[in-house]
Amino acid sequence: MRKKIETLGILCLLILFIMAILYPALNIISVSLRSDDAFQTRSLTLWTDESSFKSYFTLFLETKFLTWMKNSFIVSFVVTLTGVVLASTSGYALSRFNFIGKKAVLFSILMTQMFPATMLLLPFFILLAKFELINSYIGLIIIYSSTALPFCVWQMKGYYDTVPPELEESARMDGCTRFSAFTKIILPVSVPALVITALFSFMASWSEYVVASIVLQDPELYTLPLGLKSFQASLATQWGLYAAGAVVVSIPVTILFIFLSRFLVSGLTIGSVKG
Amino acid sequence: MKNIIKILQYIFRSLIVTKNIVFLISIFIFFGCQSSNEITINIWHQMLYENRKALREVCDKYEESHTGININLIYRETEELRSNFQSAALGGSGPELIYGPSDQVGPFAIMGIIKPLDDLFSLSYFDQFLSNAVVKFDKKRWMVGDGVGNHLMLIYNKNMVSSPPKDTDELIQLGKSLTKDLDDDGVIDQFGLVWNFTEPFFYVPWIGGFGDWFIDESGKPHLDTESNENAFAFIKSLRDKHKIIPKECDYETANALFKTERAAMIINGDWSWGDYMGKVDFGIAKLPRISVTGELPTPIVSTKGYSINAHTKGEKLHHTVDLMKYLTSPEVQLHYVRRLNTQPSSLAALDHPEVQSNVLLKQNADIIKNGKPMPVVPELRAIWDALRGEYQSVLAGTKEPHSAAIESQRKAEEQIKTMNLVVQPGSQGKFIKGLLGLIIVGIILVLWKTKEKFLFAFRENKFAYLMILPAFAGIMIVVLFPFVYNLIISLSNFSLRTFKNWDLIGFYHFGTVLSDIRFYSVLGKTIIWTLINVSFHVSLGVFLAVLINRTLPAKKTLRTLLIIPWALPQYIAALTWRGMFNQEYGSINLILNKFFNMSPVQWLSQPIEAFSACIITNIWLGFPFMMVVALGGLQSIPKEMYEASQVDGASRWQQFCKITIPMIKPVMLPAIILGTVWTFNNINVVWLVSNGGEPSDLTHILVSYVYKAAFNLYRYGYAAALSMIIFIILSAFMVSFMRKTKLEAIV
Amino acid sequence: MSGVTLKSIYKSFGAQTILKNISLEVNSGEFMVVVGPSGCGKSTLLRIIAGLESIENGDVYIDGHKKNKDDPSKREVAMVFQNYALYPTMTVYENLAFSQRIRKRSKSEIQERVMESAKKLRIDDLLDRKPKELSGGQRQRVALGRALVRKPKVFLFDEPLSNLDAKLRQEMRFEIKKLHSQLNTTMIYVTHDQTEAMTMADRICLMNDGVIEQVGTPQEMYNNPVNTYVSRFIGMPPINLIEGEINIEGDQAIFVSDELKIFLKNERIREKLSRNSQKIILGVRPQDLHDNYFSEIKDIKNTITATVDFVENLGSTAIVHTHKGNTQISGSIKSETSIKPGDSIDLIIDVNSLHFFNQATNERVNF
Ligand SMILES: Nc1ncnc2c1ncn2[C@@H]1O[C@H](COP(=O)(O)OP(=O)(O)OP(=O)(O)O)[C@@H](O)[C@H]1O
Ligand SMILES: [Mg+2]
Repeated sequence: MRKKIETLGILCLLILFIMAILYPALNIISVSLRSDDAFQTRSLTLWTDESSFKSYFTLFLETKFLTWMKNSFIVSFVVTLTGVVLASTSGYALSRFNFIGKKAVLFSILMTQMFPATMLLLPFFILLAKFELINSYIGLIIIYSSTALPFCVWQMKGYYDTVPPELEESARMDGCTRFSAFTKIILPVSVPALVITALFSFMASWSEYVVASIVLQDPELYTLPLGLKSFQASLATQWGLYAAGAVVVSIPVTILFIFLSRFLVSGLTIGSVKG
Repeated sequence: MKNIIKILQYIFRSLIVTKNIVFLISIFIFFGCQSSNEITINIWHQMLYENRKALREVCDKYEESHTGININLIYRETEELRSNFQSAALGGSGPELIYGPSDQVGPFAIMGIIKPLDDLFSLSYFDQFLSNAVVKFDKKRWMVGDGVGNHLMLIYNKNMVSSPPKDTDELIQLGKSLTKDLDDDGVIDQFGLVWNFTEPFFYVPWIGGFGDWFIDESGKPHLDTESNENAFAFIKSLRDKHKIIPKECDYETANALFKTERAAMIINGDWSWGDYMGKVDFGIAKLPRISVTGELPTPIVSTKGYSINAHTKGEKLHHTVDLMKYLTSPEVQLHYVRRLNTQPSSLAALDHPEVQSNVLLKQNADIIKNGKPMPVVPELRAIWDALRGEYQSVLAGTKEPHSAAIESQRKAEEQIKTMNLVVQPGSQGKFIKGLLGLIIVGIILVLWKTKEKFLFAFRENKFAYLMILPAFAGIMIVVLFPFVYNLIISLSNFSLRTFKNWDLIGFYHFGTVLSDIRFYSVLGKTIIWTLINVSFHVSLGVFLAVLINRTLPAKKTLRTLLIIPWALPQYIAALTWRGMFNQEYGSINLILNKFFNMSPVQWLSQPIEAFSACIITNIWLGFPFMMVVALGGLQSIPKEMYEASQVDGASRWQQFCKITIPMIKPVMLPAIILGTVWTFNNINVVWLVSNGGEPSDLTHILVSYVYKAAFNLYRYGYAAALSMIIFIILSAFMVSFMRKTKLEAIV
Repeated sequence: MSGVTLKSIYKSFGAQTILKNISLEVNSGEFMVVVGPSGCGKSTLLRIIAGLESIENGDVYIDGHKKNKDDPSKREVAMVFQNYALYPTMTVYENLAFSQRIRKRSKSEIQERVMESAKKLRIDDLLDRKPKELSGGQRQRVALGRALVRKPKVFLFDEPLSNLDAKLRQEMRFEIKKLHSQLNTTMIYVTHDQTEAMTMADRICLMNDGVIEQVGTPQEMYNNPVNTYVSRFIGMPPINLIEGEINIEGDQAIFVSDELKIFLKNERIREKLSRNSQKIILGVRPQDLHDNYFSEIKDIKNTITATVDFVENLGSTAIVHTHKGNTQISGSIKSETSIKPGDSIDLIIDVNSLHFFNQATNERVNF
């Protein structure tokens, strides 16, 4: 009984909180449904007589939204894959081995995040131009991966630290090599961390605008944020389209999260080790 | 779940197989390269949505008649166009043609990143245009406009205003009768007049109306005038005394109000017509005469046009010139007239019957007559900047018009001075060069000496090194060069005047930064900003994660709803929040009023409130990330641990402190460190919510300060030095934080 | 011949040397128990045998072959860890079958082997469960089963019972012992519990601070501890060690300390003693002290009258902790005693089973 009341209380609290959180999001949805192409709304009725899905039709039929979406998927997919593969391996090495320069690696990885990104754009451009990577996804993917990696590496390492090393030692004695012990035993246990790494890498590339805007200059190659931004101009934004685009952009992320969050459950429990 | 693992295992396995690596690389190459022997001409522009379409149409036509020529149009927002083009030009590339407002000519010409046009076109070509459509600077021609205008006027809703006001007295009278509280709820629902009055561009016409102009012939600021003072007071009286304009009103708010017929008149430019057509039955008129002086306000008239990238050479240059001739031709301009009602710059187009019979354009031509040409000198930005700050102080009520006028002049002069300052390399510069050389030699020597040790260590831990190498190398390659580049720039005199021939000067900029009192106040704000944000992100995130990790009905739905702020693009979310913070129309004040009976808060025009608004927005944006990380961390805690502690009689709170916190620490600490760093360096939210530091540059954090220095005032060296200082501050923070939390021990 | 031989093993972590010159011969089929205090390097030693740790110096032979550099997967040893390290994502069956799947054995063969081991350990009804759904004892058995399936040449156990309750521990002890007698495979068993060592071992290897103090059968260790350390470690309750000297008075050898005077059996002492007086540590096991009240043998000369501090009643016997002056003495006496703290008690010392140790080196002195 006490537990039920408690659950109910928590539920109420959460719902209140979620309402507060969703308000701005609903605002965006209501802009996307309105016909006047204006951003400021005073009332929060989602649907009025003048509402329509016109912006959404325009978005899909008259703009290159689908192309951008495809491009974004390609880029985000590769970045996510790179992120997961590289972060899970290097995080593992950093968690399990003691070697010269380990501390330096861990610290310098963090330090790379400390320089204001705005000032990196100019040298990025020079670098990419030198290697002829302007207008190519390789440049973009390399930059995205390496900006997402520091967090992912640390977070994987942190998770591995909580996994008892006896697990892979057992596997090695059972006949695995170092590497197969890692893939067969440790990776499955680390699914929650992998999920976060994947989600984060995906997000880092999915809605990134600034770097994309210097790397991609062919509209055919645009990713979603670049495309969306083109609805926005300094003094005349297509608010309806822009908002509709934003809503659609956030859908894959939400779906991805719903999908991934199933694995965001205990990978490791006391079952493997005694208390 | 099993499948995922299988897939992952497969990926890992296949990654070892070189064949697959080759395959992956070939995919990249496939995406990366497109070979063709066609000539592609890139145009970067900042045209509005409808204009872009029209431009594409004329380009398609050109491509049809010129086989082998490809025209690539790239839209960038005005400020970005400028900064991206600078970066691209420095990198030795960029588009062949750049289209933008005439005020970019000055800086680009000084930097030497656009070509003078005099040698590329004949004089007779230039003679085809209105004189103000051919932009001159420093006795050379740099840009040819395809239209003139971009000037402000009074646009009125014909359903509400039968004839536009002739002078300001009339305006005030009319405005008063049209400003109404329709539903008697104490909030005004309809305004007589709206416009983006806080922006200098939208303000300076009034200075002209009071007699003087804000800039003199030689490009010097002229702000400590009575006219400026009177104009300040005039706008303030419109808002506070006569109450015919909203308390807070940026461009978007004004536009929305006018379009939804909640404002009878708006002051806006010719670019907005397209937006209003079909939505509002509108008329245009000159800005009303100032009743006291009897003079007309003088809107700035400018041209937008094409310039040629200095890197364009050879055959491409030839084609580019040809294309530019076409894009500025009467034919194209007439097309624009038909599609968009733009005011042509070509004399031939102006004489065309179609233009002659266009009522709107005729009225427009009349309005333009009272305009003043847009100055193209780079100093303009510094003047805008100084004016904006002081003007907003007047509006916020923290300064008197008189002192604000004097202060804006002083600031403008000071900024111009710093902008144009070229520090000559002295002995320190040589010393630095020597030092850098020595450091490089030293590094090489050390590496050489320790090579054996490294090789040995590598052999010992080959497996570990091989596993880290790809990630580490990737991160370093991407960051190392930019870092070293910035380090060097920070020691140089790289700025507007030395764009292409900068030199090392030593620690000058570091000294400037550290001896500037403003740096410390901004640093203080940044620290407050970071502290509040991160503590909210973490506590909210962990709190929600713990709640949501329980067995709850509809847990999945709740969990998903909670990450929505993360899923939405940050850009639009921040702008939505800005809208919500509007004093009269924002939902926040409406809610505060309704439920807590509070009087409206001036969220966006008072410094502390505006800063709070930024913080609230950023908290909203940032907590889902921490929640997800915490949620992941919670999964490594065995349930039995809680059960055991429950048996031991631990309370919830004790469980939380003794089990949850220590167990999620290893995954949370890196997230907290990085969260702090990202928040510290998060320019987006502050920039968007406060509209670039409004009011009066009082809501800056260090990065937005850097951005402003680099891209507004072209002080790259200074900005790089500031960035280095940020880097040092954050690194110091990281080290001490790790010490404090004993994270070092678990490293 | 599938024994394990270690030859002068050295191991350090950083500057700290954990194992110093370890040499040990474990015979084929032997049940060797490695005991020692916490942190003395037992686990490290096992891990070296398993190949999980590298060594700086020395050799590891398994089954007569030098295996210094071999990967753990190649050593044909199985290990049951201090924490069982079951694979949490796999069922019990998969846990048992894992090693066989890695070796790519056929399905039926795997099935057969798994069932065989599972039956032996009575976990055949748990095969579909995940580790988290098992009790502590069951997990322990699964961990054992996982090792068993492999039919390794050597089993290594690292304190497998330390987290079980006393009763279960006894049961498992018995079970492991039974397993050993069935399989007759070499087993090396690490514990810091001397009861476990005494009851299970064929031979015991006692370690302290990275060195081996003594290797021998439980009886040898009990009867002939090579030094004070071993004597204290083996035997419950611990031995009484009393510093003093042996004097020859006339033809009688007498041990004298501040509070005690014990008349020793003469025979060889006089011959061995170089001088007339020698400093020595006397060791008396509590079991060799008898309560005068119950004892049939009386030896008035060697009876100590001491004050009782407290009494631990263990059921069949009781341990009295007493002192005489500054000397603490504990004795193992009949539990029927009615003695209470504060009383004085007469304890007869059995002079036939005394141990002597050199005061300087702590090493055993045999008279
Ligand atoms: N990876 C390591 N790095 C550094 N020191 C270690 C490492 N592993 C063990 N040690 C140290 O080596 C010593 C011996 O450790 P070991 O685990 O072998 O002890 P043990 O005898 O098994 O103890 P216990 O009975 O508590 O399990 C300890 O002092 C320990 O701190
Ligand atoms: Mg141990």
